[in-house]
Amino acid sequence: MKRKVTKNEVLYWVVLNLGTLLLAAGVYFFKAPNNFATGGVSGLSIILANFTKGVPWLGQTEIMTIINVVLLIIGFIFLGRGCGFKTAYCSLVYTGEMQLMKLIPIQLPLTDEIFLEFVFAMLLTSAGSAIIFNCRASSGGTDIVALIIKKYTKMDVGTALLITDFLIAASTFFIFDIRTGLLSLLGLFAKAFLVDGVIENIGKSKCVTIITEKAEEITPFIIEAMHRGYTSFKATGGFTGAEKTVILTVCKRGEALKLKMRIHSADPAAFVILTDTNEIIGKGFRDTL
Amino acid sequence: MKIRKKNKQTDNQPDPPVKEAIGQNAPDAAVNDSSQPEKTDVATTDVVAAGSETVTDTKPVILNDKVLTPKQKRIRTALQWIFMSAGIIMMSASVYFFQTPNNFTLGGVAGIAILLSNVIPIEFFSQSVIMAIINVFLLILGLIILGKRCTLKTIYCSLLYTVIIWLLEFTDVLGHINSSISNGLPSNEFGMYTLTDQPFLEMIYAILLFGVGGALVFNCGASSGGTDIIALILKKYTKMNTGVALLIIDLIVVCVSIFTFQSVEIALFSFMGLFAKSFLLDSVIESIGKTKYITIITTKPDEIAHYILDVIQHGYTIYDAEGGYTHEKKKVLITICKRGEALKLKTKVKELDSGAFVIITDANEILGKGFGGTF
Repeated sequence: MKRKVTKNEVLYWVVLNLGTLLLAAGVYFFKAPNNFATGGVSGLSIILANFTKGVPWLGQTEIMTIINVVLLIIGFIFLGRGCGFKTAYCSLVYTGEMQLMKLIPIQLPLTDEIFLEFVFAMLLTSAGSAIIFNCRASSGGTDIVALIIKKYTKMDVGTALLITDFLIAASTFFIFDIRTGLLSLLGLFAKAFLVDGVIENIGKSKCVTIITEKAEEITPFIIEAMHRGYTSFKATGGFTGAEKTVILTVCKRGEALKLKMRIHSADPAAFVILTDTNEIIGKGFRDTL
Repeated sequence: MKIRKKNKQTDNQPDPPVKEAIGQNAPDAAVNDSSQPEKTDVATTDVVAAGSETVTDTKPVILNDKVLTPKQKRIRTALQWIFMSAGIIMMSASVYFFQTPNNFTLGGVAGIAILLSNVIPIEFFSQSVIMAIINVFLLILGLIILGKRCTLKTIYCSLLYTVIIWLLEFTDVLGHINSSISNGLPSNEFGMYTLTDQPFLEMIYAILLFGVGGALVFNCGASSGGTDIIALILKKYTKMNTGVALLIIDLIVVCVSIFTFQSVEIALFSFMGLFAKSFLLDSVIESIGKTKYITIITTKPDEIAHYILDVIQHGYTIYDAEGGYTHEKKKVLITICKRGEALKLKTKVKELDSGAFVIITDANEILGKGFGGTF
């Protein structure tokens, strides 16, 4: 039986690969040359590479590949299929891409502006992580450790990972210098905010509350043109005492703009409240759980 | 100093159509506005059934107020003092490690002290000594003029702040760090050791530590004394906006620092830091008390209502509604809860009624029983 590959599936893999590419570029071009160890396997490999300087065949990318492959194997032993094909794919492509980048003959670090490098390191890796996370995949590494801990113990995985990352970042104070330490620690916090910010923005929708006397002119637009559902209820205007209808609907940002224009032409007296909402559960929207 | 951003999210979207709608419909708009808070008030005050709905569970609702036992109260007080001290330690670290070596003046007494210690040539009047003199003077002034309103917490914070900075300076921590690492610390044009050669990085740490520490102290109902006492005195005797007054004092300090240090770079850093600090302080304070506003549209309201009342222990508001596409009779439940509770509620709603539609938004300011009063 032949399975048809849909357009959405192709798009999904393109986006997922873009995520790993951003992650790899961030680590290879900006993090590793400046010793920004903000946690995770990349951070650990940057620190270990400092001790294996004498061994030419054991650089940062090699150590990272070894750790990632070992973690993948452990993951498959302990988690079985729970480890996931996507995680294995991302983890291998991520390290593979870094090995390929090694072939590019350029002098690293790219600039002597360390803060600029730091900004790019954080932006690229955070955007990459957020994209991969949003595709419901993971780049392997410490995520596998977290999954194993979660399966066998009742420990709070988030806190455990944060402590490990913190230790990795804090150790750069002693292994490298204070500047690297301060930057790595700052990166650890910045990463958390950036990844959350990007993920939140991807899923952001508008919640629209419309208070109107001409509901019958607005609702067909929501159903027929926007293909969204809505909920309505009766209300009374406090000053006029007039019978009104409150219409509640949720839509994407672009749609909200169109809806607003439509309401304005259909009932200029309508009262419209728009709020940002980042978590919606229900038909037609992404399930965050 | 307080530039409150009322609604971060909604701020950026009053686009023309909405504005016009408000304009043309002024009386109605105002009324609609006032009917809205009423609803949310109900949500947080009591279990009231809006419309014809009767809530199946009519237990007396003491749940909202969450009466604390003496033991819980003691733990809460202890935690407050710990958070307060942590905040002060962060602020002191910001001043000693990042502000003083770079001559960043982020306003306040610390800023004035950095400035004065550079102006006064006498060795004895170092930054921490000047800070101690000003802080103690202001505390005494505050106690005389404000009396009880100058609280024990403020006295504690103000003194701790002064003592920690004095200790750090007295024991010469930076000097010890300098001699303990092989290459030594870089020193700047003022002959001071700095942790790094990156002023921008140090600025970020100065702001982060100062802002987060300040927010922690503020959230415990204390202040680090200093210019805050001046603000309170001004508030008592004049009708001046104290936020603006404080900002003006800070701006004057920064402006004077331009002439003292003769460096545009430091002035620009200080200006940036001053504003960044205000924004950070506000956003940290805002996010500490952040709650979620949850709207649940469901055909099975009873089980969900039970869960909200008994497990999450919050009130809710319920009203009748109609599905737009299906024309099915539905109920809308509105409730407000903390972030962690919102997560539990979300999971539970999904389990109880998989067809429910849940919208979760951030609520920045809530008035009503069981909420508010973070300060």
